[in-house]
Amino acid sequence: MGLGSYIIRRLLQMIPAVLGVTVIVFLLIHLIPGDPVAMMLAGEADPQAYDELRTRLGLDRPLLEQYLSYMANLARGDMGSSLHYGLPTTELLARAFPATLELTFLAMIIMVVFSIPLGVFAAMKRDTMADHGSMIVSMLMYSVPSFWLGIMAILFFAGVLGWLPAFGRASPTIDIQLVTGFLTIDAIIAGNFAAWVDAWKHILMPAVILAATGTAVNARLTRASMLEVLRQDYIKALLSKGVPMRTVLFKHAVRNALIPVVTFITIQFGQMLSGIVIIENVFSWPGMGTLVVTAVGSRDFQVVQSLVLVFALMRLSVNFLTDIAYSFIDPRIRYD
Amino acid sequence: MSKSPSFNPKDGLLVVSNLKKHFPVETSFTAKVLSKSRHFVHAVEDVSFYVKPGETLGLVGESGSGKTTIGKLILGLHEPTAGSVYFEGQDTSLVKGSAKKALRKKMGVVFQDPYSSLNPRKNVKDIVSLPLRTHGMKDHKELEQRVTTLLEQVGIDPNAAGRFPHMFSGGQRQRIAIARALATNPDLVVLDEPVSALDVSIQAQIMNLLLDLKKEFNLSYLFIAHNMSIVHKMSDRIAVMYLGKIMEMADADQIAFEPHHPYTQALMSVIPIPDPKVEWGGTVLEGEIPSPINPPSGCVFRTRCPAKVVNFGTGDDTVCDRIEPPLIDLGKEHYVACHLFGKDSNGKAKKSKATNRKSGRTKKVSRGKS
Amino acid sequence: MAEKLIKVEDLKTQFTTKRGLVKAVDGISFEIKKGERVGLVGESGCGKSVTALSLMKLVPAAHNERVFGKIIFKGQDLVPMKDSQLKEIRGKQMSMIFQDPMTSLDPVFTIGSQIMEALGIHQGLKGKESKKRAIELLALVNIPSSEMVVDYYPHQLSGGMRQRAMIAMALSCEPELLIADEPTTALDVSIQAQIIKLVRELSANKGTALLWITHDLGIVAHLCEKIIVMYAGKLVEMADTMTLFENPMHPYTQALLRLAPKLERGKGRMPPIPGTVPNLIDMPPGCRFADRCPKCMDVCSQEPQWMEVEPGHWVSCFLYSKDGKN
Repeated sequence: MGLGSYIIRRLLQMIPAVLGVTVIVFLLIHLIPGDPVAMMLAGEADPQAYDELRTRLGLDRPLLEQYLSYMANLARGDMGSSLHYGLPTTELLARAFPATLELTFLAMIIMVVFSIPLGVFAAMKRDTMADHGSMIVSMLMYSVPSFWLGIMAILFFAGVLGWLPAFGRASPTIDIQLVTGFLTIDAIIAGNFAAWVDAWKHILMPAVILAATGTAVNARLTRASMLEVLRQDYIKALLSKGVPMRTVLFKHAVRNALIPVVTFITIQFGQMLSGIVIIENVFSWPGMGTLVVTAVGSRDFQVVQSLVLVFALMRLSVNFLTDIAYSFIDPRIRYD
Repeated sequence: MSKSPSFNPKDGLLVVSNLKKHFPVETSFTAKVLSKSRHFVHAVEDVSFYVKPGETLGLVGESGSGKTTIGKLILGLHEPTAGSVYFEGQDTSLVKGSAKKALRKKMGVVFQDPYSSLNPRKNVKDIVSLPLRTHGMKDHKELEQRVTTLLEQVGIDPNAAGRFPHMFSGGQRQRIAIARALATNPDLVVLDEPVSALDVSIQAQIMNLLLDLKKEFNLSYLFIAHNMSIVHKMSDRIAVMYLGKIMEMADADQIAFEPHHPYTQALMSVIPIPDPKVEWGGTVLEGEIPSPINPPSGCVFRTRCPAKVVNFGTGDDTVCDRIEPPLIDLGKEHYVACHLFGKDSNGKAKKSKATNRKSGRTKKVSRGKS
Repeated sequence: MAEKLIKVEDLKTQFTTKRGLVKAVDGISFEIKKGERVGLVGESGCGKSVTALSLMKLVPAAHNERVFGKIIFKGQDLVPMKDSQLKEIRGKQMSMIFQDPMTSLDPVFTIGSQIMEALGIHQGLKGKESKKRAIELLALVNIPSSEMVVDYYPHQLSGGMRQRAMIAMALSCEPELLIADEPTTALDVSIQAQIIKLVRELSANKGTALLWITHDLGIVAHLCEKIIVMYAGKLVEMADTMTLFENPMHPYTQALLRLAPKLERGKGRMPPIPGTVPNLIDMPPGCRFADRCPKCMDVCSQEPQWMEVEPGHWVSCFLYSKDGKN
């Protein structure tokens, strides 16, 4: 079976998962204990407003009909609107989504770029000071809650040293045309160097803090996986063929060691999506994490519902991408 | 259509009749949706044999021959797809409830790996007494006494009953596993590769122990293994399996020294006998065992058979390609499934010319011994 | 008289573990001539695999291993050599096949690319030329449709086929010594026979010397010209195959031969060796087989000498002296 048909097969397999997600997200509003409409209105005891909202939300119709119209709206790109902001949810998402995505992407890149070489290095230097030292540091990083790390980083880098801004995505003076929604890229498109530096200064701290836990855990996992691979017979077999140690390590061992690491990165991504809610709030990052907290706080259920859907779809897409990545690394997957 | 003889359920302590086990091939959800046909692993295909009281039947075959599955079917660890297992004349699938429990009490089992077959968190006393407790023995003193006796019988110091499996060597663990198998005073013990994981010197100790115990308690063994020399040493009769079927079944010496079936002959000629003067590798089979998902038509061994009937020129299928050879009785409890050995019109077994083909091994061995 | 290919002198391989110093190989000496097929026989834990890895200088570095003594391969001592020098020997002049064909091939590269890797390193072959050679090598080891198999991944082949591919890889540069560490233990007896026959033919055709490590006396009886018996890190006996089977001297060899599963009419108990292989940590001085030996004497608490009691027949046992039997 070729890669193409494998991708198609995996895409087909995603359909039931996506439908399942929409059902759960749709039911979310019904699963809220108590009367969602009353909670959304929060004490405004006007029966007319109550009925109006109830009708607007469609809660007076049968469940199946509600779901179908919900799906029909989704297909048209209509996710309802925010009571709190008085804006369509899609518009809120259009602002928050790229902000979150940019932050997560960067955090993922930081995690991969740092954790894998660190783990490989520690495995190669097994049982030396360098190995123990780097593993102790990673254990510490793993044990410390990220919000505390975030606050400490703000105190130190923004407060004491004043090197980096404490919050937000960009300084208020910066004004550039949004194309991709990623400020670090849009600044280049706009050719605005000052904006580019500003964007980096803002994103650096939250991204590093967001990546911290994952990097620590992943480095440990890479080390363990690498050690496991180095024990395998085929490593001895490769050396016995006269393949130099460097080639054995970097061509064969690392690639095999990455197989479990790739799975783990997916799991890490899921944890990052929950971590981002905290990090965004610590750094006042205008992304989905901040939005979801505001929406929950203001009982803006339709917004919460849409955000959960987007989070879930992000997760599914990453799972899909991991499986594809897998089939490049591990030939056994595609043919099974 | 059944090609194996149906033995009378009362022919032995254990009688297996036309036993069949197919396992569905695991497929993904989408594959199931996309294609309707389901595939099966034909693990055991129409197998019949019997084990008489006090007798050891050796079940020998290479990987994929289905020998281990048969052991599990007998112990009730798998449900047969078709066919029956009779124990003391009773169809085991029809026995229910407390009778079933009583039946299980009469069968013991020892598995290959002495490292994974004992629960690492239980001490030896708990391990050996578990079957007793399962069958209702509650009195502590009585249990302790029985465990002591059992451990003494298998050559383990009863004072070590409080120790855990990891404190014992592989051979000692296998002794403990044997003690557990004997706890309920079974009549039949299924031995699934009991010495394969052990070193030669330990192997001999365990084989001796099994022979002694058999004599002492008049046990019947179903001895499952891939090593023909060991099976021969342990068994009264041997059934040779290939791809889920019995190819030949006869007296152990008959199988070892006068094998009839081309597969048995080939198998015997490649056993590495530790004697440089004995000829080795007379018939090295080519190729590999076919997939049990899609076994060959006709005789399952035909794809590798050195004696396969060939049609020159015509390109037609031969009898070996088309017809599955039945397991026929050559007399004196010698059964063989091969077209070289047919039945004449009276239904009496006749040996064809090819019977004179003997493995080169046989001659050499007998000369070596004389 | 054939030329010496490898000479091992007082080889010791030790690991430091948390429980103490493991003397896995403890002062062994033997030699292999060009084109000679030698069997190294022993039970698990006797140090035979460690010996093989030591000869290739492949002892796992993770266990703080140390190798002492001399391994003179074609006049050069391998023991002090660095990896960069060993590269010229490993795979090119001396190669190895392993016990488990399921784990001795890298699962993420094709069979072909793994063979081509060795060809590239030692013969500078690249691209199409290299692939052509890889296909030839696979055909040489009787792999059917080798031009397809060359692009297969290891998991697409059966155990027997993988072991053939391993052999193809090991023989790709026509080494002078092939070390085989129990290569057929994981295989069925009919596949084992195919592999043994193949190795015997290839070794004879190319003049490749063989060190075949196994616990199975039956295999070496039919494959090797000379047999070395090892017990608890030491050599106990070495002789040409016929002599060893006809006139085993060491009580351990005698016991092994008696116990090795063979086909005989008539049943009955076998006189077993009591006890188990001793722990390699904190080994007591003296003969290591003493406490299991039926012929143990007082003198056995001392270290027996490894000596040639008859031409070509070496044994380390106090029952024998340099002039022959006592």
